[in-house]
Amino acid sequence: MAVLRAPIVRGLVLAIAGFAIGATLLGLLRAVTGRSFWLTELSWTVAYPFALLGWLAGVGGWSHWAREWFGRPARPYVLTGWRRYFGFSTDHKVIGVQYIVTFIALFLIAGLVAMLIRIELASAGMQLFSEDTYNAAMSLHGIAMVAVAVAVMLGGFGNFVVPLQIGARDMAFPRLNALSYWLVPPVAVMLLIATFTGGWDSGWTAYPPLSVFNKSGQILFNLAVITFGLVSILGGINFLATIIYERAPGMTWWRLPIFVWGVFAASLISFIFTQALAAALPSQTFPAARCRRAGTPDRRMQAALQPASLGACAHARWCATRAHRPGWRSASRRPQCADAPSWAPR
Amino acid sequence: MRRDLTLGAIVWVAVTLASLAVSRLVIAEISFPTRGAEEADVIDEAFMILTYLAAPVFGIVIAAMVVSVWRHRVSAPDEDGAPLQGTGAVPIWWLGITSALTLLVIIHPGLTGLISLRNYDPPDLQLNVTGQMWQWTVEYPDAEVRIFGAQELVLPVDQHIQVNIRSLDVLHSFWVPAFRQKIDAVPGQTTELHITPDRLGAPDDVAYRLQCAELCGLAHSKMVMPVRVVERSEFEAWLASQRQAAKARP
Repeated sequence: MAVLRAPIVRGLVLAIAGFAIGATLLGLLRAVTGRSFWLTELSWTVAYPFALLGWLAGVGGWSHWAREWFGRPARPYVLTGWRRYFGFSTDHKVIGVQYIVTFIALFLIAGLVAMLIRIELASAGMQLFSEDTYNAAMSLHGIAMVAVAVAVMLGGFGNFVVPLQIGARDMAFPRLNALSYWLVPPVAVMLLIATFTGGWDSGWTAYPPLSVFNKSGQILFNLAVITFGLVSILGGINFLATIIYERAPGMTWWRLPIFVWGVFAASLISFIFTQALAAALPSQTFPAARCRRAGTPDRRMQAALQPASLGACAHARWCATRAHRPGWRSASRRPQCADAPSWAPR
Repeated sequence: MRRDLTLGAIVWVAVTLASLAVSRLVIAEISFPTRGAEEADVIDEAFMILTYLAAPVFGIVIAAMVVSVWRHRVSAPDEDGAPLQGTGAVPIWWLGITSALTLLVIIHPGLTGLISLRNYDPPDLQLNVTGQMWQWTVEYPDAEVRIFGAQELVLPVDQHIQVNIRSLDVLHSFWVPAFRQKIDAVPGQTTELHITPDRLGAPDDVAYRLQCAELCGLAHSKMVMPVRVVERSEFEAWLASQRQAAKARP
């Protein structure tokens, strides 16, 4: 049973258990209040945090860190050789390599999808994809490439190189560093699950209102991007603290290598601005709450959460259709508006 | 150090001149779609200014790479290359010049271009354009004519046209490549665009189509309306025939 002791296997088992617990809790809560036990979109939204906690605990967050919160000493496992890259390691060089290899794998997937897109575009009309799967492929390619571009440079090269360049022993918060890396695999998994359960077709930008009318895959996209935002915020804090406080004596600000300055600027940006994104995304992920709010006079809140000014008619219509069909949607809905001009073709 | 700088300067000048030549002879000549409106000049000019300014930037990046690879090469893996000697003045000049260039670009093709695209003269013709998933509807309010779907959008030449754009559902974007300008259709808002077509055009030219330019879901790529620019008299005749056809419909 040695395989069960591998951190990734333990993480996977606990993630599945956490998912089951979260989904069951929500289902029971709904059954008690007289509604259907099954409700796939909200189940994913509620069960995902449980699964994420299970994954982090199993992969090493419990033994390395969380035991201390309950008054017990941490019992970090020590892996040697190639195995160290598959566990909860607090060594900045190991984490750098983990980031780079993970993102090269993601980069490869995104690149293969791009080649499929190009094959499709090589001749007119649709051959390989339908319009729906084309949009799904394009959206997956977009978000995977954007994530890769941000994360390989910051997480990968930043972790490996910055402590060496400024003469620090390690990053300022090594366990936080490991935690931010281990939040990344769930992002990739969620994006791939979303793609293989019908995808989402609002691109990597996911502008509302399109992202609100979208297929259920959008929910998984939102959860993945919220998680990735967490990676980016935690990583940003870590780099800022490291560069400000962990410089070797004599390594003054004006002697910092240009790469360290670049990481500092990028971390500042991701630390400050990812939070705005993180605040906006849950409003897309829990749209039922937004439907209720649309009727209340709290216009200020609404304006803050819906900068793209969702058309009122389309919004009401969407809430209405939504109440009738709460299940998993594998096709995006084309909203029909009650107050559209009579000449508008239906 | 002096030889580094000399080599860098030679590479910089050579690459910059080559890039400028390519920009002028290739990009400016063959890369634009058909130019169909007065306002297109503002946008094409801005594009070329940015392309010319990019040439020396590209050149300096290539020069830095060539100097590093050629002059600071090591013969054994664990040997250090010749150290780069820099002074505090270089980063400060670098910061100053690039900031000044950025500000200049924001002011010249940026703000001045936006001002010259804004047209406060009373328009000769108003169009109300509505985007929805996944087609355009165009209304000529003065003539009470509406067209939609695959029907042709017909416009008169040499007239100042004001286009009012709105959306029924999600974000769309109004874009006719021949007119260059592009603006989002936002649900709950009306955006506007001023166009003065100054040559005739027909939909067999791919630049003459009203194409949605903001991803709007399943059939976004097919949200196209053919565009035709005709003489004023022909336009009036077309409008009259459309009005007749609309009256004949039950």
